[in-house]
Amino acid sequence: MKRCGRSERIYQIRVTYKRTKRKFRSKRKKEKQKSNTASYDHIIKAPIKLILNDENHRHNVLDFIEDINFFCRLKNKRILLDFSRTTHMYSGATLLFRAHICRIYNKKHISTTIKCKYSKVPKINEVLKQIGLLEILGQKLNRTPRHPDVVHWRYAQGAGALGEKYEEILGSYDGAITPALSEGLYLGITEAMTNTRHHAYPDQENSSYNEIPTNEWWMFSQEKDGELHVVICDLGIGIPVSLPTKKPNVWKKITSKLGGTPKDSIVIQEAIRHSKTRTGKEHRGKGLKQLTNVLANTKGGRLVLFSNHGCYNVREGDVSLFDFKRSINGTLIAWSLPIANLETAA
Amino acid sequence: MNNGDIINVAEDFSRYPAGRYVSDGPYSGEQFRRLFLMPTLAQQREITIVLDGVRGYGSSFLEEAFGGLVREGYSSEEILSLITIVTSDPSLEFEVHEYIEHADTRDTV
Repeated sequence: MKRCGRSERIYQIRVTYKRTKRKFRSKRKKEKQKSNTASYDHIIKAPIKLILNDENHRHNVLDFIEDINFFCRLKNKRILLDFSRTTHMYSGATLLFRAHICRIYNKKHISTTIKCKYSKVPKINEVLKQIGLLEILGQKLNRTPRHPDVVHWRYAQGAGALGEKYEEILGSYDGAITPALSEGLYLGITEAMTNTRHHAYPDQENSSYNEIPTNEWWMFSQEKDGELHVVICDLGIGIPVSLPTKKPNVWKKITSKLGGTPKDSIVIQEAIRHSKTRTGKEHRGKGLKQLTNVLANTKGGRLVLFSNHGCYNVREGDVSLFDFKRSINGTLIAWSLPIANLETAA
Repeated sequence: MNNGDIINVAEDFSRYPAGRYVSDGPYSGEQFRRLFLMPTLAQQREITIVLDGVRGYGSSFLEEAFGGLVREGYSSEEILSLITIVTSDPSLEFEVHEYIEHADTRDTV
């Protein structure tokens, strides 16, 4: 066997030293991770993708939320929300998740501690910070959100019809969007806020969370790729459940036409259809119709309305309906409006 | 009420009117009716309401503010003779008149 030269020997010694060091570091890192997670009573894994309009991902999101609600009812527990494998957070599902966290923390005597484990994707951690979740959980992230998809997220919450909240998250778009679009959005948002109270009375039989209903709402806005996305949600009983008692005449028409147990998406569609204005003016409407009126003011706008199992989708005037297996136990309305080609501020 | 018998909703009430009942929010149609419309109509005084300058008017706000007057016992003719609507959006004036004339139908969703 050929004998090594001096430089070769030194090289081999260095490589061995580095390998040993690396192995030692890796071992320590694993031990540290183990000790970090070991102090938690429950670890709830966040879904890879937080999306509501895909059956499988929706199932995972609702499982995640249900687990959080379940474990938070237990007293004096430490819960870790593990976002380590999360790669995508879409505004609708993210808002629904945040709404549930807010509701848990709004209770006066919460004895459960919730912390979250950061994602391997830095953008996800920026989102968690930008939407104020880390602040609620008492965590700090030494990273200022810089990603263009993240920095434009705005957040508001309240209870009842608070028109001034519109100003907080959408007031800065004045001039960038037309006055008609601005008015349409205002009417849609305030209508959704008002509905939170009308759709928020207790219905313990149908609520899987068995929570005390409130008239709270949560709202996101996000500017991305020349589009303005606005999402608002509540955790009430939903349009399909509230309609029979709130609007018996409309419900009677629906059931006489479609039978006793119509699908949620159809109930939503009929509720919107029966709330058309008497004035006959396209840009004015009443009730739920005001949610879709905003789309009449701009081309390329979209509306997605989730309420319980149902999904009512309007895109460029075309309405499509879908029903999911699982209910979101509330109502979530999302508008997407192109803002790039509209008249812009000077 | 400021400016005599002229009410500017944006200046005298709120730039953000929303909701039907007081329980819906601080600047609801019911609140506006109670604060501004009812006292004036009770004295049989004419009143001009300027609707411009606000973010928008939801149907529930307008219906409760103006249609609610009929439910309070005033006749449509009486209300229409005392109230003058000033707005740059003619459809708003039309809508208010509709709510006053058809206030018994309250099938808003």
